[in-house]
Amino acid sequence: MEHLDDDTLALIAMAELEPDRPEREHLAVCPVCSESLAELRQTAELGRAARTIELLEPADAVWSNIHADLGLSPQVAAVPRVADFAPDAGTSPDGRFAPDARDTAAPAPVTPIRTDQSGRRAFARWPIAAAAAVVGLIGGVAAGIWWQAAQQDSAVVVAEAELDAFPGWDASGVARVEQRADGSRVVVVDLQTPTEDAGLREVWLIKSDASGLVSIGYLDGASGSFVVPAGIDLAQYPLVDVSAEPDNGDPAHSGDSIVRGELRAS
Amino acid sequence: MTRSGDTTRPETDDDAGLVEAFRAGDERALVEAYARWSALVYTLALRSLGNPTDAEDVTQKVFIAAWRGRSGFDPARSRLPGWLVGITRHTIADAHEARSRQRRLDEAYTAELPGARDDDTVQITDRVMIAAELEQLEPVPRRVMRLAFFDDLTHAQIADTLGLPLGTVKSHIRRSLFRLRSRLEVNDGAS
Repeated sequence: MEHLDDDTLALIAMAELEPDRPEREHLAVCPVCSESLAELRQTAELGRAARTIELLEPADAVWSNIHADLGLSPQVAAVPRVADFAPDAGTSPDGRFAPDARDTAAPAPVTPIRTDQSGRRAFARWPIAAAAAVVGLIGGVAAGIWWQAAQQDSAVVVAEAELDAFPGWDASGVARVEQRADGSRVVVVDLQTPTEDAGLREVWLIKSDASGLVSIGYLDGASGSFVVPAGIDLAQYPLVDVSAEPDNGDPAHSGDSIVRGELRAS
Repeated sequence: MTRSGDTTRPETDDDAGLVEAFRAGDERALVEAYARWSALVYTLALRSLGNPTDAEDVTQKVFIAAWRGRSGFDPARSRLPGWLVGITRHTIADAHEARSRQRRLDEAYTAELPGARDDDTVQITDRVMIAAELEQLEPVPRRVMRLAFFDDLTHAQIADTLGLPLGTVKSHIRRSLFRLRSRLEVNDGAS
């Protein structure tokens, strides 16, 4: 059989899933999968054991000494705080070191969200960023994931979208809708450019006239899979959108879209 | 090695920008590295040496050595935190050696320092590294992983607790688990 996919390995490592007989047989003979599983299990075990670890910060004088000893410039004299770089700092999206972010340090464009009198949220129509060139070539990483998923997964790709950047964002990617054997549908998003510095990123399905939208989850890393709720007709919600969201608990779309594209049947 | 590594997908390092700037000598990269990993270095040193002053001394030496020796950091061989931990271990070992020498000089000093331990160092290192990396996950995956690891909740319970779709929870756990695994590699060849 094929190698076990990452989902299955993670579920087994987290003791969420008991491997079935073919999987056990494969693990017994495949050093690649069994080693990967062993490492993931060890990671999970360490993660549980990390409960008792209390991380402690060194005294401020340590940085002052380093600063003096290395003769660093006065601009970096302040004691560096993890909160200034943690993704949830609620700070500028370019808090973390990302050369790309420095080039686009200008405030990200806030796209207007219109709220009509019924209080229902309605989206102004945006032109898909004309400046963003259509993605002709998918980079090696995304193509690799795509290829690998296509090899491993019996799911059928029923629609695809090229995701183009909004002004101010240097990003692109693809989305595809997979129909699983049980009829469920999954939107798989692969971004070509890392956008980790954007903080929280949320994935949405939006109506073509922007009169409605539904969130399908948060993107972690450059790609992710999101189950489409059973009641959602994708013909009614053909736009896939990834937005940058402040970590403020507000469930609404921030209006700050990173990429978007229209699904087309494939 | 990851199972994906033998196909067409490379392990991407989401700290690539930081690493590049660090090697190029951009001070802001040292600032970020210190912000993100000084607690890791200090906690490791404190656990091994049992003394805040000595642990601060180690932390200072580690970052000074890392900056001066940044040309020796090879991102193809290790990630930045793993490299820093490698330097930390060497520096801690030096501190223990200096203590032993002092102890030999000072005959009255026979008892092992309370709290000092260097037995299960590898296990402790990994646990502290995981704790530090958990802190650096994005907010939603961090909440998910804390519930999974610390509260022993099932994926379904986590989905209920956080009001997230089950598929999203599974996706966060898979990605975070793979990311944490990739961060556990320590380059002990660091000098």
